[in-house]
Parts: sequence; structure tokens; C-alpha cells
Amino acid sequence: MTGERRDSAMLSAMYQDVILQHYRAPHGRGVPDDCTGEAMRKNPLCGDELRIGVVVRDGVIADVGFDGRGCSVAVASASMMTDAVRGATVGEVRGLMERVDGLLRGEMVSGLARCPDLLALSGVAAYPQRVGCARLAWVGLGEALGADGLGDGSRGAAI
Amino acid sequence: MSNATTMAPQPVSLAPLAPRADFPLLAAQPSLHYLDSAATSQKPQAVLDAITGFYSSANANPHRGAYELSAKATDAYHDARVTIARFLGVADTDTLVFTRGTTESMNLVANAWGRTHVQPGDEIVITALEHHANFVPWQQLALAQGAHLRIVELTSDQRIDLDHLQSLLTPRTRVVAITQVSNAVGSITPVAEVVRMVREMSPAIIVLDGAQGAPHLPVEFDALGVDFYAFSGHKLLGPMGIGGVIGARARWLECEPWQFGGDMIEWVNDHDSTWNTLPHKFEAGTPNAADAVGLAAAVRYLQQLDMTAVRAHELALLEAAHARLSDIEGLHIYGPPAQQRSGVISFSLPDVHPHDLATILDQHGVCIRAGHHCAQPLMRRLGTNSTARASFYVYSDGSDVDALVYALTEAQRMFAHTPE
Repeated sequence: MTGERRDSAMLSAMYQDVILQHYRAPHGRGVPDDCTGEAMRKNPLCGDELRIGVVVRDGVIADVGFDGRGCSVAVASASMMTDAVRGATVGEVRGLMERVDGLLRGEMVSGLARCPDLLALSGVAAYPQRVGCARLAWVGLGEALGADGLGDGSRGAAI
Repeated sequence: MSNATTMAPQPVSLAPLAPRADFPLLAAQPSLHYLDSAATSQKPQAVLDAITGFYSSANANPHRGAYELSAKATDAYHDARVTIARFLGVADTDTLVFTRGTTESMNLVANAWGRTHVQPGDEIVITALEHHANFVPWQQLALAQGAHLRIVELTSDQRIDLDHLQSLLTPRTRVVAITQVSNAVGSITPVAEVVRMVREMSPAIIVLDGAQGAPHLPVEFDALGVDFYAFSGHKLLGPMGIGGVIGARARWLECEPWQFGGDMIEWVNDHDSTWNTLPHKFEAGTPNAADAVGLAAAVRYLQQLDMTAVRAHELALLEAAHARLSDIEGLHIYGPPAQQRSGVISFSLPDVHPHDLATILDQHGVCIRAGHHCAQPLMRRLGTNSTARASFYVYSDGSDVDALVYALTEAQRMFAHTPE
């Protein structure tokens, strides 16, 4: 960023320990063998790619996982996502997706009890070039769930 | 620095070749370390003045009006072509066709020559080093014509594998399109050797991608022995949106127009038309005269610096950066030794993704590129999807190297820190 220089507090806000922890030891690594829906998301800016797989049974996320390569923000966000949505209903997941979008727009958001770590994503809002990294897994999840939320989506595309 | 080694690193004492004061953006931001010149260079005041000067004293549509101002615009555009042609060492100045840049130049050659000369079953040779501008036009030409695309693989230090190139050349090879300098890792192609090999083994035309060559190396088209040479203005201190392609006159005569409209015609009948001569035949529509004039100012600026000195300056920076970066634990540098590369250093740090590096370095005022550098085929061969890249130019100096190294160690410290 060349014009206004961001302060180091903003950088620390993005690279919180919780982000780095999820990056180093991500949860939900590996796409479930029996997934009912999956999607491949690529970030054409950096070439990163994540594959998201879900197992939906009776409207509930029975299992979820991801694989692929990404930066700390992309991987941490994917890791938290798996924590947040496993065991949730598809309806709950839709609400959560909206709240994560809000966080990434820099809005105050509540209702993150399923995974309080998600709050750490708010630091990304100050870095518009990195918001796409944080959204990668969530957009993939939306596609894996499919338009009707049955969890039988299948897509491979660039964001 | 918490992880300072016992031997404190010596600052790199290398003055810039061109004063920062000549570059308004750099002068206004003294703490900025712009290390992304391979993406686009900064512009000296002389270039901005030339563009403003054209619009404020010579602006009219070239080649159109019978009035004096239009003649002045025509002259300015013509003079710009001559200046740039001399800079790139081509005596036949009308063989320099202006385009928007390297991408358009490659599309021009692929369409104007390729569509009429590449037949089903013919072969097109490119390399795994190419950026997308010199990759996709040939890939698509091959698909459209039913030709075979052959890709020259690389040595373990990301140079073109000349043995592999030789093995791919056949009497059916129609085009060899190859970069002069890799934008992603900086490798310099031994052009003379490639030309000799291609001429010996095949009837192919040679298209050289000078996007990264023209800004950083002395270029003499007439001595290169290639058929076409493409370049971009904005990477060599000029404005965005102007560049060109030089062709051997004999090759231009084989080309069909690829865009149609004003300026490129000689005479328009109701049901057919005849074409203007070189270079106008390939410059349909109102030309980008103002930016051509700006680019001419840029090459005059570089001529004053002297391209041999530009190359020497970058090499000194590169060697200093190479030595300092090699001291950083775990850091991997891609590409050949400094002598065989241009002012680009591409690297990765274990455990720190290039995207994270770029953000953290930005915080320290260091602009680097992180990503696939528009060279995804190369990234696949490196077994990665992105690298971090620092690139130097005439205004770069030792303090840029110091800032890069400091910011990298900070990034490493940040990611090495074990959370509670």
C-alpha cells in the first residue's frame, strides 16, 4: 500500500496468533471420502486453490473438510470454517456465511458462538487485497452445498 | 532485531543509477522501496512532460489534416518511431509497428503471420518460461489451425533446456516464440545460440519476447537475427498502453492485416480495399501518438544513462541481493546464477506464503510481487502456485536491498513466533 501507510497494529490484527495457529495446524484437513458435494475454488490473483467437500445428511453438515494450497488467511479461514459448520444445519450455515461476509466488510458481528475464532477474520477487512483469500473456503462451501442447499453441489471455478 | 546474528549485516552501499528526484512518485515517497519494476516501471518527469507537451502543443490527429497542427502531430509521432527504432537497433525504422504492448504485439504476429502460414499438422514451439502474453496467443493459434504446440522444458535452475529445444525442432516447425528474459525468474536466453539452432534445424520464424529484455539489456534488433521482436513501453520508463513489434521487412510483407479501419487503408472501394504501406498497414485507427512521444522520451532518458550501465547497475544489485538473501535461513532462490539473469530475484520462504510475505513487506514500505507472475505453466514446473519476486531498475539502490532483507527477517520472525 503506497498512499496511507497502515500501522503495525493493523498488521497484528490480521496476523493474530489464532490465525497463525490455524494456519500451522489446520482443522478439517482432507476432503471426506463420502462427500455429497464438493467444489474447487481458485484465486486467479495468486494461483491458490482449495477444494471443499461436505457430507450433508438430513439437512445437517455431518462432515466437512478441505485440501489444497493457500496463504495463512485462506488456510486459517478454511480451518475455522470446518470447526464452525460441522454439525450445523444448512440454514445455520447460510446465516454464518452472511456474518463472515459482514466481518470481512469490517462490520461488527455477533452470533459466532459456533467458532469464536472467526472473530479474528475481522482484521482482514483492512486489507481489501486479502479479503478474497479469506472468502475462498466460504465461497467453496456455498458451491459444495449447491443452490438448493442439499449438499450435492459440484463446481470448479475462479472467484 | 530479535534474531540478529552475531555478524551484523553490512548495509548494501549502492547508489541509484538514476536519481530518485527524477521520478515524481519516488520523490514524493522517500520511504517507499519499489521492487516491482518487472511488473511496471516508475516514470521520470521527462516522460510526463513529453506527454503533456504533445497534448498542449501538438495535439491533432496524425496523418489526417492538411493543416499545420496535424502535420506537427504527424511529425511528433514519426520522430518517436525513429527514436525508439534507433534505441532498439533497427535501421529500417518503418518496420517498427506500434501496439499497446507486448501482449498485443504477440497477438498481431500470431494473427497477421500465423493465420496464413501455420497449417494443420505444423508445429509451434514455445517454452515453459513464457509469460501468458507469449504463451496463450500461440496456444490458441495452434488450436485454431490444428497445429501442434511443443513446449521446451527447463533446466533445474529454470533456464531454457537447449538440448530439448533442439530435439523439438523439425521441418514442420513454423514458429519458435521465446522470451529474451524470463519475467518470473530472470533467466536470460542465449539468443544467438537459439537462432543458430532454429535456422539449422527448421524453416521456423523466430519471435522474441522483449518485454523484460528491452528495459534491462542493450538490444540491437538488426544483429539479433530474429524475425519479430515485441516490447512494452511501460516496463522501460514509458507510459502504459504503448509498445511495439519490430519485424524483418520480408516477414512483414508476408503478413495480412489483422485489424481494419482508418490509416491502414490505401483506398476503400465499395466491395474491397487496398492497404497502406508499412508501418501503417498494421496500425488501424487513430494512433496513440501522445504515448509514443512519451515512450520516445523514456528511451532518450535510458540512452543518457546508457544501457550497458543499466545492465551493470542491475547486476550489482542482483549480486548484493543474492548474497544477502542467501543468508536468510531456509530462503530458496529460483533461477540461474546472477550473471545469467536480469534484475529479477524470485524466491520463497518455507512456512510463509508469498501472499503473506507481500502484505508484511508492504507494511515496511517494500513493494514486491507475490503470485504466479502471469506464468502459470512455469509455476506448475516449480511445483508451486506462486513465488515472491523482487525486481530492480535504474532508480533502485542498496537501501532497497537492505529494506527487503530487513522486512523478510521480520516476516520470518512473525511466522516463527510460537503462539501460546
